Amino acid sequence: MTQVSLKAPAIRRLGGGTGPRQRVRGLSDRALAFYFVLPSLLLLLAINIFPLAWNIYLSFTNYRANMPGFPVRWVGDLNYARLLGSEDVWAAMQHTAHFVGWAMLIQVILGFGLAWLLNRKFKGAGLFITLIALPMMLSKAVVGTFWTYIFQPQSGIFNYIVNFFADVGEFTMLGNADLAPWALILVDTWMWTPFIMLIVLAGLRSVPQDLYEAAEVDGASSWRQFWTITVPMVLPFLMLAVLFRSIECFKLFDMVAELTSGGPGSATELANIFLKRQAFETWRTGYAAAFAVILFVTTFGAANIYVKFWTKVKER
Amino acid sequence: MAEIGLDAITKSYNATVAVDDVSLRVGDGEFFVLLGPTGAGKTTTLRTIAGLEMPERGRVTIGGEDVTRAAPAERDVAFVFQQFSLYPHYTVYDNLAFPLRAPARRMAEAEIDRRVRKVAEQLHITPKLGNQATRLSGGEMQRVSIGRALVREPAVYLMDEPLSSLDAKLREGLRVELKHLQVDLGATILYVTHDQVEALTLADRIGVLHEGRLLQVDTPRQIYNDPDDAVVAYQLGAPAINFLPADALGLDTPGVASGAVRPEDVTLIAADAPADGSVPAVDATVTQVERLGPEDVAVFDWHGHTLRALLTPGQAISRGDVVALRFEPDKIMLFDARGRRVRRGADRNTAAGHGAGPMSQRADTGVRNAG
Ligand SMILES: Nc1ncnc2c1ncn2[C@@H]1O[C@H](COP(=O)(O)OP(=O)(O)OP(=O)(O)O)[C@@H](O)[C@H]1O
Ligand SMILES: [Mg+2]
Repeated sequence: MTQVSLKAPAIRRLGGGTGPRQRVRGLSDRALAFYFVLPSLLLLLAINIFPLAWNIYLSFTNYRANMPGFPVRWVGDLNYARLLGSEDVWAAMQHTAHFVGWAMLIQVILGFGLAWLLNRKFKGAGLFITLIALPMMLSKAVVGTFWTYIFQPQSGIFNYIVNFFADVGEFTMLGNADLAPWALILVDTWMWTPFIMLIVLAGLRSVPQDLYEAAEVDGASSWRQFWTITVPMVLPFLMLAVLFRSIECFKLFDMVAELTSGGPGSATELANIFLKRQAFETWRTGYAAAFAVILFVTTFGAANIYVKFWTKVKER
Repeated sequence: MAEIGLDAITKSYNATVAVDDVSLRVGDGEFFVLLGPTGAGKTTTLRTIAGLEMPERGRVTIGGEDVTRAAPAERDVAFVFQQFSLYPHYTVYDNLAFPLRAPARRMAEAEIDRRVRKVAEQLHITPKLGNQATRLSGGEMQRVSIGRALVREPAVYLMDEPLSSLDAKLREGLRVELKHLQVDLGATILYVTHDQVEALTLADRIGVLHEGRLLQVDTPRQIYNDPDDAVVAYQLGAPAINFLPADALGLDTPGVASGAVRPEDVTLIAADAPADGSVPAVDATVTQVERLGPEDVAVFDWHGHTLRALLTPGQAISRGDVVALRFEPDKIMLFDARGRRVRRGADRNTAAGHGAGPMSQRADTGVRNAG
């Protein structure tokens, strides 16, 4: 530690910022700051930036991870050209869009509704919220596994409940190309609606009550209060929740791998499942790397546009 | 416009009795000011009238109709909130138009526009009409909040310290404006403040509220000159009235615990002038002279008691001077141990005829507020 006597100038120096930058044993404030950040910077470089760069490099080659001896050839944009022309890729993207779109819509409606109901003081509200939030805390792979049991045609409770209300007979949720995508949406909704609920609840609780009082005195109906006060105040919260959730949905893998592994056929082959199949079943590593880059750019770009929009909404 | 009636209203929050058995009648077209220190229950009283709080006991009437259980929207009141409560996602214009756009009013957009612009003009916020409500200074927000009440033509206006965030000049201007408006419209206004200058200048009648209880209701002049209670005497007038224990004043009337003299009723006798034996005088040391502009206030120490007196323009005294002070015996108000007024036979008459001079001056001086 540098020895400094605690006189006024020394204190000023330690305080940083305000006083003129002085050297304490040859280290300026800026350099000191840099050395503190350096370890995490190196770590980030090693486990994030390098793999990303390597992946981008691979996407321009014909590399196959299962054939280490195979000569690696630079193929230019061939992988990208193939990807964009492939029906399977477009199908995977469509499946993903279908999943993300419906999951978000249903979760927003349910999450908002639950938050709305829980946003009044009643005995045991805290316990209730904890219970509702439980699914969110489970591992996605575990959730996937036990929902396969729930969906079992003969012994699963899902079929039993559906048949209790509507006599449709035995059906296979996960084995049917029309139903399987909805099974994914159902499980994701069961698991993640509480997340949206919690964030919306925080938003609802941040609305100053006196605004509602003012509106009430001004003769505004509950409907008008909802649209002029609640919605604008909660929207930034809701949008943030949707951002987190859609990124997660977009890269969803483990739960689907447990539930359907992309099947039946390719009915639930979301982008990430498709990616995994290309990379580790057909071993077209370069091709998969190119797809990963496309996914990355898409998510990153969409998230950035969304955040810009979000900032606008928040600042209103 | 309509009258407001409160019958024995009591409202408490857990252990706190915020409003304690308050009965009050505000006449049609009257400007009534509720004056009280912080925590007196002023806001709670207004909220009860607006229907935002349900009293435990008592009855609220507006225009003779019992509205104790009615919803806020059914009461047709306009409320200026202490904390402004503007709609943050709306512009100033839309905030002002908001109450007029209530479906029940079914007002044409042209009429709304006319009213909004008129009110904006009155409150000097026309240039800010396009601003987001959150991007305003505190004083501007407060004026928008007043405007939101004024665009309406409600049965009664309830205003909770509507001028508190404004600077002295603007406050003085708006005070005058508000009074004009009220007279023009013949509006019934129940106005809450802790500022005695506002109370004295605006009110047709003042009610002094303290710890949830309504201590006295009277005209400004009467309540200033003839308070029923030590708290009322203390609340009105700046610099504040001087309280002295009865024995220090040489009062031996049974039941009298203290006496009080307004600063303007303390007469200074030059230190070197021989005391007129017929009038009792005391020697006090000047500890401070406060220059307020039109008049100065001298602070004295007399046997450990602090006294304030108004100085007339010619009187030049300074710290450390020893000055003989005289209190006119008939201007000393007497209070019992619980702070209630003890009246002598002649009190009412003397009080009514006195004090017009300093009173009216006080009323016009915003600076006085500092006390
Ligand atoms: N929502 C509440 N919950 C609990 N106590 C409250 C609540 N509102 C007010 N009180 C209490 O009731 C009393 C009166 O409050 P009120 O807001 O009416 O005072 P006020 O006269 O308006 O004061 P101020 O001049 O500071 O606005 C206070 O003691 C306050 O602490
Ligand atoms: Mg208040």
